[in-house]
Amino acid sequence: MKLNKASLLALIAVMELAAEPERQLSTSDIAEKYDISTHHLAKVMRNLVHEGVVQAMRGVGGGYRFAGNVNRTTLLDIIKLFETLESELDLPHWGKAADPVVSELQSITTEIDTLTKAILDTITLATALKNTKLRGEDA
Amino acid sequence: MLSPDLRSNRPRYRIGHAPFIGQESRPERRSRPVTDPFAEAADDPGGRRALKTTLAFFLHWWYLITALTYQENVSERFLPKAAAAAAIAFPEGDVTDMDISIRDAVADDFEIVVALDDGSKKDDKPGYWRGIFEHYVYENNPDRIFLVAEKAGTVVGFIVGEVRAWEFGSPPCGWVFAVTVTPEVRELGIGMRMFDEIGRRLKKMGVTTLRTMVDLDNKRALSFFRGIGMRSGRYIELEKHLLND
Ligand SMILES: CC(C)(COP(=O)(O)OP(=O)(O)OC[C@H]1O[C@@H](n2cnc3c(N)ncnc32)[C@H](O)[C@@H]1OP(=O)(O)O)[C@@H](O)C(=O)NCCC(=O)NCCS
Repeated sequence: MKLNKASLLALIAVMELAAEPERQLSTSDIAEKYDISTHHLAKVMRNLVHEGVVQAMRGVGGGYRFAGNVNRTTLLDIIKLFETLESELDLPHWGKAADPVVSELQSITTEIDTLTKAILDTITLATALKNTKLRGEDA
Repeated sequence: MLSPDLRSNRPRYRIGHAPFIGQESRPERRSRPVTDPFAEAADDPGGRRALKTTLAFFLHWWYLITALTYQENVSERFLPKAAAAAAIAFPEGDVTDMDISIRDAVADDFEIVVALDDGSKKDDKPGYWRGIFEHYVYENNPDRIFLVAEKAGTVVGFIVGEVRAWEFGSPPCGWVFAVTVTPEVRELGIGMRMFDEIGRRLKKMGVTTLRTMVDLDNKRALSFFRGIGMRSGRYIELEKHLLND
């Protein structure tokens, strides 16, 4: 599985903001910390605002703030805003759908996708952040 | 668009940390318009409307003051269902403050356990649990653990597990094969408390890994197990449907 760039940037930004919901961070704060493109991140942030995941705060020093529910929002909820998680092996245009080779390969990709989704849809931001904190303490 | 449940940054209420009036996290209260009884008196010489509005005015404040005074009332009106039920069941203290006790199950817990096992599709639920009580409660086998969580004499949850050795070629490890908390008091840390206790006991028996198996569609249980630190393990469950010949 390969997440697209926008999903990855969104996960990073959301985890960073949700770690301290009261804190405001600008796009460049986040981009600098993770050494990522401000331009690309800005686009992702606009999307996240539009979807109601983060809030853009006005005024001097205004930045973004997490506006979701850390105990309910899962990693998949964020990813789904940027892509449909379908396996790269998905082959809808190869031959006839009824072709046994195609349908066997499709059933394998479905198996993979089901497991992937079961993982990403049961890790809430709270859980991911808790694990992040533990890693920080171990380091 | 993120669903409303994901957007509202509803905090997880712990008893004792429940949001009360004045805290910004409380859900919107439906306020009734307050009418000023004296302003309206001028065009109501008979005073009947004034009397009615005065009464309404006092009733309104009585409503607010009662809500402010009694924790139960506040909880009922302003907290989400689960937290409100929990606040009524446990009016004081904090679940995390040992208000909940975890103990070994005894024969008398049979009925409440069967009742708590609500969502299950087992054909013969009492029969199933009779078998489990037989082996995990009455037999006193030290490798098998059946715990219940209790609050004020009421069982509100249970967890069952054991040490299994060399199953699937694995060195001895701990298994948790049933855990349930009554819906009214979910998400208050009781499941985690039971899991910690069974983990502590299993560790004392010498195992270093805990395993469980969960239905793929049981998002809540999967989120729970992940929330308490579990991850996909080394063993993969495979299955085959046996077709009729
Ligand atoms: C699974 C179950 C036992 C959890 O019990 P619980 O007392 O509500 O769980 P806790 O409050 O201890 O939760 C512990 C952690 O799990 C996670 N969690 C629990 N319920 C969750 C939910 N509905 N959504 C997302 N995460 C959840 C959280 O990370 C939580 O940590 P936090 O309190 O630090 O946020 C309970 O939901 C239940 O009885 N479900 C029905 C029975 C069942 O399906 N059992 C499993 C198969 S046997």
